[in-house]
Amino acid sequence: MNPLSRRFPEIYRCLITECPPGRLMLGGGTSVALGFAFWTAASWDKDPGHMLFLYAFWTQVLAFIVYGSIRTSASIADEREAKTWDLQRLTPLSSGDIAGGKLLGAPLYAAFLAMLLSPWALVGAMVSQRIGSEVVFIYLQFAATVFLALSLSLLASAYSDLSRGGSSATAGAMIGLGCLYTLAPALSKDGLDGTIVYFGMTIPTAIWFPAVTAAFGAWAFAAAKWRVGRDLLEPARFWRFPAFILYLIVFELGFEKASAYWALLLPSVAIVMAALAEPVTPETWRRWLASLDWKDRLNRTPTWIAGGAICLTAAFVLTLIPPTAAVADVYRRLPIVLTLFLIRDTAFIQVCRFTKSRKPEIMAVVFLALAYIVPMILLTVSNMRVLLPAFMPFIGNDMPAWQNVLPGLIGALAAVSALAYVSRRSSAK
Amino acid sequence: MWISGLARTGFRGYSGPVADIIFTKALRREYASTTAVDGIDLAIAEGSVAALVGPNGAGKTTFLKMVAALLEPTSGLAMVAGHEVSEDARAVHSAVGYLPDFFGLYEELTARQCLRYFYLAYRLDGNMDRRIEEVLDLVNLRDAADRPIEALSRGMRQRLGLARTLLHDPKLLLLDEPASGLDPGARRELQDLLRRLASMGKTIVVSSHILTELEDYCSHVVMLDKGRLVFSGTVAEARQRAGGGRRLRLRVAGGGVKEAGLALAASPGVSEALAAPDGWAFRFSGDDEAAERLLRSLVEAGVRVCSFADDSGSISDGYMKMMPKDNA
Repeated sequence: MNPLSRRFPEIYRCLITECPPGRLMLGGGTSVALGFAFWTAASWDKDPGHMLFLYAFWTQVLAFIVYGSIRTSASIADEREAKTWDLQRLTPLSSGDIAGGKLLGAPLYAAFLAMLLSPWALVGAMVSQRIGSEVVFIYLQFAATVFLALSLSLLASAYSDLSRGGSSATAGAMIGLGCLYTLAPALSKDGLDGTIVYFGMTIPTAIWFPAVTAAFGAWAFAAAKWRVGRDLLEPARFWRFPAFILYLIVFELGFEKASAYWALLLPSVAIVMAALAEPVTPETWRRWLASLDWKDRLNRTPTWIAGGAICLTAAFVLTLIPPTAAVADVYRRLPIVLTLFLIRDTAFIQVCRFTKSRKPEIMAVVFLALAYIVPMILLTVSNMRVLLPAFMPFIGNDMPAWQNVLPGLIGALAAVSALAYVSRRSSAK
Repeated sequence: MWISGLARTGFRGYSGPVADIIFTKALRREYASTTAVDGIDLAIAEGSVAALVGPNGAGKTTFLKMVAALLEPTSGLAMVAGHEVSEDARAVHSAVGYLPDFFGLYEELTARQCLRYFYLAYRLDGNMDRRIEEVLDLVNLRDAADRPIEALSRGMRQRLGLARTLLHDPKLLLLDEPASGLDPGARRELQDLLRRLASMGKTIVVSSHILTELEDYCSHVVMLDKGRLVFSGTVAEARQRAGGGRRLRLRVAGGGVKEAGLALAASPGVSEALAAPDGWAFRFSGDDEAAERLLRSLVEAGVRVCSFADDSGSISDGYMKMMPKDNA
């Protein structure tokens, strides 16, 4: 029994189920055949070494990132489907042990396939006389993207109730393919040789890209671990999601050319997604509000409220940042407008959870989409775009600030009042 | 630690140590608009073997899941082995062995590999192979240890499930419908195994629909209906309830039924006597000592007593009597 299997028992299980000898032999044979096929195809090119490297590298990428994501996204969902999840929950394994085990165990075969193709990529790099440091940076970005893709897949799996009909595998494939878009620009000439000014520092993109990718991977892993921990009834920690929101705000503020006033856009999207993904039932509300211990109550705070509070605070701070020549003064009101619409939408999602709808999240998404799309179409068609700020977080260039903020404020107050009403009614029942 | 749990759940008035391995107070669990468990107050002492019975939808599985700390109670208190389930779920997990009402096993592994996996997952020290052999012997599964789980029979899988729950030697076993879907032979093996576990001093809570089999090894009965506690007590108490008081049965040899009837009629505490071809069944208001005196007086009166025993109903009778008519 190797020490890694002792630390993460999931690896012991996955070595048996994912990597039986027959499969390993098949993978080995396939990689040899593929390598010779690459060699033959590359030999027709002017730079055969470069082509061999590209063929082998991108097949490694497909094997590890796409196939690995498919396997990882099924890891927890499959356990729920097979009803073995409860048995894992009963063991003393912590959420970190389980999430770590899944992250390392589920893509074992994908890692094996990628590893088998490494010699071909290495030969290609040597023949084409690539610079060693460039190969190192390429693989650094590859490793960071693998971590991001697998962590996102684990997160998707942690939130899936079932894997029926291949839905979890589809999610994994989409995540894997989506992550290729992260990888491609990082491996371009600019990505490998360029620099980026971040918080006033000039950083080589070959270092900045992998670092940022790995950081987002770490957040995704932390979120998956948190979701697993909730199944284990591990005590929640209220600061975790707000910390992520703060990270997103700071991350956006670092870009040289970005306007600080847009720094709440990405966090707002994250909060809406959290509000949709977190199953906050009327029961959760009751338990949260009825909790006698302040620490317990704080830890039971729904993540979207904790994240929203950070957004609201940040909005006030960002409003104080003086405008620059590049950004007009009217944009100072954007963080407040954005936050008010965020409060409106997240509160509305919770109102839907108090209805009798079997799929309140779908109901909320449909209504919210209509609330944005219908006015946009009607006002654009009727040439009344000036009214758009009344229906969405837009800046009205010729509007006084109070007029621009008012629709969002009314919407937020209405949604919060509706939420207070339905929650009180539910408690009374 | 549990005091703070009491305060948090609103039971400030409760004081005194909790000696029982399971103690619940006003335990409640709601799912959307359904109340699966509705204010259950229950105490189960260490070392007892309790049968958890009730119709489908009575809340048995929800109750067991809350006690196993797999499900957080909506309100109320549940203490298991001194730990409050909402407060210290992980400690509860270590103290219980929970067998769910389905075969949640890793089909691709062999029985031995499956147990190795859980041995590692339970973070157990000592000799892994020896411990696995011990539990395989206990559940009589050594011969099938290296067969893939998908090739095992239903009874074998159930015993493997039990072996998994026993690996970390928990004080308390929570078994949800363990006999469901098993053939008579497999059910008998399971009964023998549960009897062995009970003799080892394990506290067992077993939910089942097959009430007659529970009587053989259970010391206590807990009856639930629509999430509420209908009855909790010893098997003898359940039987007594079924009989509407204590009933005794007398069998006599050599056709002396009439004489026995006359002797019974003259005895204190005897009523509602019903004649049978070989004796009498009657209600008796006395305790064990009075029953002993009655038996002696019958023998002294020349009644040729063949047998003299309690004739109270079974758990099934108690269940039928205590459950509301639309369920029973």
